[in-house]
Amino acid sequence: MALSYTSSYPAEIMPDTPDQAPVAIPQSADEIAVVATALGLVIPADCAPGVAANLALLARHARNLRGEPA
Amino acid sequence: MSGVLETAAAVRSGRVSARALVEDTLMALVADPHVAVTRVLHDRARAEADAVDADVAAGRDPGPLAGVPYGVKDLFDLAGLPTTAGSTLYVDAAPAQADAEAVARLKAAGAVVVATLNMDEFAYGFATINAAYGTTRNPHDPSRLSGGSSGGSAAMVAAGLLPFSLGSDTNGSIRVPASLTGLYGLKPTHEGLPLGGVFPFAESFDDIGPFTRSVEDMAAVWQVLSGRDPFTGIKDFRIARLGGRFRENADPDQLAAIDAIAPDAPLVELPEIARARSAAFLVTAHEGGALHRAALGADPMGFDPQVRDRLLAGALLPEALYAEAQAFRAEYRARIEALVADYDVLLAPATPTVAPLVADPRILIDGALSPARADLGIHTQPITFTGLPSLAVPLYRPGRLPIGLQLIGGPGREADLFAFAAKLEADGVTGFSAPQNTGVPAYAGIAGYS
Repeated sequence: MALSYTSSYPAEIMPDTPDQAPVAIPQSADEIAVVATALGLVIPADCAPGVAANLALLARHARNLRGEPA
Repeated sequence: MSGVLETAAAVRSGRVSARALVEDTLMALVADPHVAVTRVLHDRARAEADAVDADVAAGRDPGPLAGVPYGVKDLFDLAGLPTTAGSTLYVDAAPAQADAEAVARLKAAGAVVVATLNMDEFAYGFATINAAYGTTRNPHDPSRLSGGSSGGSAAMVAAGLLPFSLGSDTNGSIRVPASLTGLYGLKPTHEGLPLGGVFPFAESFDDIGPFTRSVEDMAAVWQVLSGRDPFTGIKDFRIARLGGRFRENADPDQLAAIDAIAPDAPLVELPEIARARSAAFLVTAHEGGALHRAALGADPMGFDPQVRDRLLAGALLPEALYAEAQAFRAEYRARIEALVADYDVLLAPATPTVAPLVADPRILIDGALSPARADLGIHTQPITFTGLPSLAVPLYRPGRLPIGLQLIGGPGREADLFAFAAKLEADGVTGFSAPQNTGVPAYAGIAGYS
């Protein structure tokens, strides 16, 4: 099975140092579109609500990871 | 069908031919009403069975699992077949060049692979609700889920059609369906069983393991897969009950069983368990999204809709957040290993509830309804995060919907878990109960069944 994990973010939006890293999860439709485009992805209209809902869930987990209020 | 060891003994002695066993099994699988089988491997199974029978006839050792039929979750490579991982995107993929390492080891031990089995697409879910291959039904009540993502593997063993099967467990995908179908299901120490030729999901957490109906069958299959001795000399177990979050969102019967098994055992609270689960969620989402990014870009509508949206979201997660979650994981694992070093077995629920209804696949978490697909693993996911081995064991309760516990051990100490599980089984606390609801009329109207 040839598939294996590789970094998701392309070099042009991957910072050189962790301090510069984009840590915010895209939430709004515009933010999602910007990140998706940079990754070479198009979010089909039918998927937009589901992707946004899943990103909102992941954002809650990110806040939890950092000990921030949910 | 008999269990693993009983079947192997019958074939090894020549009392039963492997070919006859396989023919019966193939016929049953073709008629399976559980929406659990994706491919029946007629030709390959017959050839393997004939080879076993030839060994027996010639007086050669046919192996410890001689003639035992088994199935694999549809993400193990089988030479000559595409590995679909439950997705139509891979139906026409190039055939695998060789068997997965686990399949090769089982073949060398005489076991006969007879089918590939249903799963959530790309193993992303705890439900085995698959848009292309259907929803796998629970043999104990076909109106309920089998759990997932290895739901087909669990259903066929619980229904008695196979003595054992293989699944994969990234965040609970063996332990959850084992609990909901009343089986033993092992998530080994991370990377403790061979992952070669297994379609990945989230490599930080991916593991494989068996489903069986008894502890001794589990130990026998694990011995073949791991090459390790499944027996331990341990007699006096140092036990702890996991407290805190593990005592919430649990079935009262699970808590009562845990307290009855070890009434005087300390309640140990793993620190920051909710944070650990969140980190596991983020790592899984990111690795899954990254793995499928190219396919998501090329043909997003080819994915199962519920899986697609989760994978797309995962692909959009910032790399720095992933790194943050992984850093926490490394530190957390070391902390937990030190904390549990004083115990041989930790007791915890396997799932928060019995099998949810297919018609309403939601469960109560903290008093609110939540998708079963995402949250049935609330008690397994944090254990995955630690890398520790965990054996799901079924509470013995004939006539009722199954539910299980997790027995969690130290790294590499699966044999201790088997010994403790054998004791519970002998005491009648845990054990497999045959489904009482297997009549064909119960399956009328299920899509895919005729």
